[in-house]
Amino acid sequence: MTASHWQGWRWPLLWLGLLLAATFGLPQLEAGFRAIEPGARAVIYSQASFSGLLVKHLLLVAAAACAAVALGVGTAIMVSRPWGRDFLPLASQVASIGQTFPPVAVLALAVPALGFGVLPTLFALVLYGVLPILRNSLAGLHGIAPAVLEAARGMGMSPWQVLWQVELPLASAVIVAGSRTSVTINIATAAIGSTIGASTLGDPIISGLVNGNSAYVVQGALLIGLLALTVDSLFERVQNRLPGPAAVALG
Amino acid sequence: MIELLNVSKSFGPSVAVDDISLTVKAAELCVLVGTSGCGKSTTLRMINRLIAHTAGQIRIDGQAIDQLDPHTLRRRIGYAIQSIGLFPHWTVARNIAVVPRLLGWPAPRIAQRVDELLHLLDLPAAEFAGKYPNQLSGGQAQRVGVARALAGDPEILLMDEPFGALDPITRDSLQNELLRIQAQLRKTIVFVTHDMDEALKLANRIVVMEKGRIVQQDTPQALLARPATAFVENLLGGQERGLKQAGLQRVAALMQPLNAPGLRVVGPALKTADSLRQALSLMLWQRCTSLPVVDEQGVQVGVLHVDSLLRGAPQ
Repeated sequence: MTASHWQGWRWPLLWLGLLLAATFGLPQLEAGFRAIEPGARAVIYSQASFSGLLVKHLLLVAAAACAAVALGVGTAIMVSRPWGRDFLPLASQVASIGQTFPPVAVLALAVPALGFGVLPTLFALVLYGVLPILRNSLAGLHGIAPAVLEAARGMGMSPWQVLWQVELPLASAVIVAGSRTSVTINIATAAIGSTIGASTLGDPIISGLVNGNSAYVVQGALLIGLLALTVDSLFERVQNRLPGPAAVALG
Repeated sequence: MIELLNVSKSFGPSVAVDDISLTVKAAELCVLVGTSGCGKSTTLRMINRLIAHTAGQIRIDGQAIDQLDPHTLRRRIGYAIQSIGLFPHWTVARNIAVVPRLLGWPAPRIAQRVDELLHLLDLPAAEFAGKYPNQLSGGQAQRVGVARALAGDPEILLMDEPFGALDPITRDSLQNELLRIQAQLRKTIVFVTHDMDEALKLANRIVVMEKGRIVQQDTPQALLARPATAFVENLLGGQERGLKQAGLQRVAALMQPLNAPGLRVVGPALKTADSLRQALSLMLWQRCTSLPVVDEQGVQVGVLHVDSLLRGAPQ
């Protein structure tokens, strides 16, 4: 491994270090938080451990991301096949309109249908997260030079081989960019799940808001922020290793 | 051998190719030429089933192509296009290796084949094998395109205006390259172009198409001598036909050889491989009626007089 190889990992490692330090070190900063809320009975959120909340938060976002990628990329692939082309206008419209829905509204609508807890949160996260992925997957697949696809077919690749060996690799950078947006937004959005009974890093924030304890709010927000930065920098690292838009356009 | 028997292709109500019959013999370089929209590209793309013909039959070595699996068929046929379509996420070597990999060749054989082709197309492997398509010039990219088309060692090569987007100098050198490769490999080539000069230069046989039909097919010489219709004559350049014909003949055929070994020539001279068109041009430029002819080393081997040029070749 070269020095430049390690350089790419600098930011993800830095953010990850800070995130872990905060997760396990916050309870040690009681004196500092006391300064924010001098009158409160407790200034460190203690109904659940931060590490437990972090893991639950991460699992929730990861599950939503997997479903959103499968759904978004799958739909984009379908509507860009010859037999699914009729649905392309519908998919593009949904992709652009859906983004204008606020996540809280989606959550509010999901509760009557799915009850309280993890399930409606997951539903809202998938629904909200699928849109940037779908939009970028469509752009990525349509951005491939027609000559490249004609050459691929002319060389004798089967439709599957064209998809796996040519289309997806060439669209990957744009698809990953969409997933990055989706996941980063959802790390923040998942916190709202705490209002309907899902256990996330939003718990300290909601509890702090309900009880008028801004120290709790700061703790939750800090951890969510650091998690978002860690994951975002990891995505950036992955993106830099994929074929760039210049290469795709020149094909 | 490729046979098209009464082949037609219609897109809805419009007929792109109208009842054409054509036989391309093994090792022949057959050029389809015509204006845009005459159906020449459609004809080419029907041969590897990128477009399905709607009537008639297409056979390769006696076998009807609609009885073959289209992917297997295409892996047997080399394909090069004007826009090249190199895979931008793969290196030059990986691009060339596409068809051998699809054919499931073992890795050492693929590596050897890629090296062979880079050498054949005059792309030093050390310099080019690891490059990506966006690091190549247009001419280099099309060399890779041709190498890729040849990689699976196909009997048949389909080329759709492969040199159309290149500058005249690069185009000329790639045309010469193709003639050299063809002399060596003897593939069956169907080549589409709208450029009659390119057709005259490359073809064993020229097929002129107009509005989806074949209007004439013949050798370049015969086509120049006897254009069947006004359209063909027009395509041949009308009044410039004489020059085009002169472009097909070599100085060596008309010069008067020297009886004794010649001397090294200083000043304007023709090479034996030059065309009569180049000879005439040089005479016009030098305002002279005869020029010395030299061999590769620059030693005189003969003389070309304008009289013999005008009398023409002993055909």
